[in-house]
Amino acid sequence: MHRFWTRFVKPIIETAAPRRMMEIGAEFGWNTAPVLEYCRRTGCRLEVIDPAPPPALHEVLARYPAEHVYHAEKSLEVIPRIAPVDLVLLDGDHNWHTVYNELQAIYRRAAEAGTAPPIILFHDVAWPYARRDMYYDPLELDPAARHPYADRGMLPGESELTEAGINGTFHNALYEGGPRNGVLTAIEDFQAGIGVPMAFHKLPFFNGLGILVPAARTTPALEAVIDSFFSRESLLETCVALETDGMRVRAELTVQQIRLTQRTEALRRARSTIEALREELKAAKPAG
Amino acid sequence: MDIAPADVLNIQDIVYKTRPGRIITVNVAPGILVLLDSLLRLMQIAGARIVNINGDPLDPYVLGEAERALDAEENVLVLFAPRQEDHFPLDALRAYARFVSCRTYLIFLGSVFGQPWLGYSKNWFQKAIRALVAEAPFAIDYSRDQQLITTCPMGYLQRTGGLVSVLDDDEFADALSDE
Repeated sequence: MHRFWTRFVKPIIETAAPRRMMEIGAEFGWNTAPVLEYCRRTGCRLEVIDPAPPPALHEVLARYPAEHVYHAEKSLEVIPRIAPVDLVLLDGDHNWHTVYNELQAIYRRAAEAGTAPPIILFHDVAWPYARRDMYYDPLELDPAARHPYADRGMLPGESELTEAGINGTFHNALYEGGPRNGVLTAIEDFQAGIGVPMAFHKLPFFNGLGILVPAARTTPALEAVIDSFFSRESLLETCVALETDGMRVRAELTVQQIRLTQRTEALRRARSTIEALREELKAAKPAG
Repeated sequence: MDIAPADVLNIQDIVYKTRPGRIITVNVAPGILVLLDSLLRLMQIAGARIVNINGDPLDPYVLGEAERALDAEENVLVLFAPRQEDHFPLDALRAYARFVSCRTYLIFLGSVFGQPWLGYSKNWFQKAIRALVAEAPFAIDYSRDQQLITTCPMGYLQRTGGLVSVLDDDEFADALSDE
């Protein structure tokens, strides 16, 4: 989600001016650090939820001890017991069951406290996890709450998993699409069933940013900020960012191809040396 | 074979940027060998060494020993100096070009010479270089020819092609037996 920070997430946060925020799925803290910087500047508090982050997150959190509360548990266990927040950054377990129930829990908590539900910013509402589940810990889920899955990769436009695709080290649902599958599907199902007026906006790049604004939190200033994301200028800036990203990937591909060439040739040379040494050894052995 | 100060700087820069694990030197002057050895030590390139060849560069035994000395090194640089009698050393260039790793160099020392007899016929070394570049995946790095004085014009040949495709299957690569 950090790639959305400067041009999208930060303007939303600064316009909404939350006093309490929640981040579900902080991982390396790339997004957490600027959020905590905002908190330090404004007195906002951040609830950070991530049951198994890498050590890098703790280094980030250590720099902002007064601005956060950290929960080393799963979101569905934490949300019901903490005070409602004004804004949520949701980038946790990317599957229908978890996202749908997180939304239910967040809205239920707000209703219990008699406050407006929060603005929610989601990552991964575009390919590959918009319409396909991924499970960090599938065995912890009820079998009825998960689709058949495998540790194989994904390619755009192909429903079946493939060895040649991306994210092949994650537990991905075998097929894309269909009911109760994927992050975006969970949001749409929640929106259709909750009966609370809200607006959902989707930026379909860098794996997708979703912006869910309940009517109770809508202001003309916030609407103007979100509308500006879809202006011609903003979309052209996005094209430039995507092109830069694509070129960096191609450059890295070239580096890897050069390494592959160097290693393949070294291997072939070593193999021919081994064969030559074998022949020498054979010739040197006494007959019989 | 003497080289100009600008070529010393070029060689130093190439070693610094490509960080070769092996440098094959073919009939290179002892002073340049000392320079290369110093560079490898100063740059602390782990395990790097020089494979020095003197005499007939096309002797099959010499070529075999050179190849064996490369082991499984992935990053090989070649410095080639023609002998007095090598008027058109294309075959020798071909023989050593195959050792050069992708994105590193075959450096032809003394390419400014190459006039084997008096008269109009000259630049035979550069003709050999052109012939090699026409058939092998090398490009002349003209950015290294910009100095006022160089004894290696067109002599910095960078291997730019011959990339292994990720789609190339090498069925033997993982099948080396333990015999």
